[in-house]
Amino acid sequence: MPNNYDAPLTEAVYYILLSLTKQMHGYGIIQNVKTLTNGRLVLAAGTLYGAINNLLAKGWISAVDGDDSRKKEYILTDSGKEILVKEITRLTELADNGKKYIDM
Amino acid sequence: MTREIHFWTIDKYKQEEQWLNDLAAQGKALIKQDFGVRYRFEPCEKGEWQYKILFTDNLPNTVEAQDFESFLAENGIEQVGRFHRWAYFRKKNDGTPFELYNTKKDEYNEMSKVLNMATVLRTLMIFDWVLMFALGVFEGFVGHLPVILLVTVVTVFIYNVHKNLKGQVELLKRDADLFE
Repeated sequence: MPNNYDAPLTEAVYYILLSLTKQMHGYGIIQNVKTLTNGRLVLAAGTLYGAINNLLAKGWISAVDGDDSRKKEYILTDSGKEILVKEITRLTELADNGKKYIDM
Repeated sequence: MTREIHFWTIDKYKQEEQWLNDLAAQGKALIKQDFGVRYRFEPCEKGEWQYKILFTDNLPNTVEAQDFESFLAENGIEQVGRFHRWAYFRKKNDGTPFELYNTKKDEYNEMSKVLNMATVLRTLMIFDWVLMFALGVFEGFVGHLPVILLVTVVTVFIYNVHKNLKGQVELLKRDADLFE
């Protein structure tokens, strides 16, 4: 069941999916996440490798031929996008509730 | 280039990793690791390299192991040694910590696999010890004494290795339950 989604995504998986709205290879994902988080989150290669394989198995991303044949590139699938949208809704709820209770 | 022989037990692989990083900080870089005990070093700039030891999911020379190695190579991480499921990696020191995992859960999962291997070893040794002891009971201890003593020493040793690993895994689990 590729669309089975009942738990929060890890921060790494969330940012990997977000990065793959554009076609990218592993190193590109690491750089993109670093830029998006102003250097706060630097994806470790082992975590990224495991996450990519799991996401491929779930069908949330797919592998595509890149410009450089030595490096595999990946892109978000429709079911991956569906998961991402659900997660953004969940995260928005978390943040909105937080702001209701804590002055920021 | 220098060749050295060192023995590290499987419960001490984090200490071994720290040892390699300390050597690199002093200007001695590991360039090859064979059979889990033979280390080849070369002089380097002080702190030029950072090292990481990983207990991987696959045996060397499998498609999966090669896929993982080339994925890491794309990210500037070089494999300098491979023995059974143990892999030795290094990368140029760019001022950031060398991590292969982002989450405590990943670290916990990795060390749990080492613990599983130690559990199998411990079970086999205990079984072996019981077998030796039973033979001693039936056939007289005198002839079997050297073997019984040897098996006893190895069993106690592996029992302690397992106990150390278990302690480390429990600490990691506590962190993994609290943090991502």
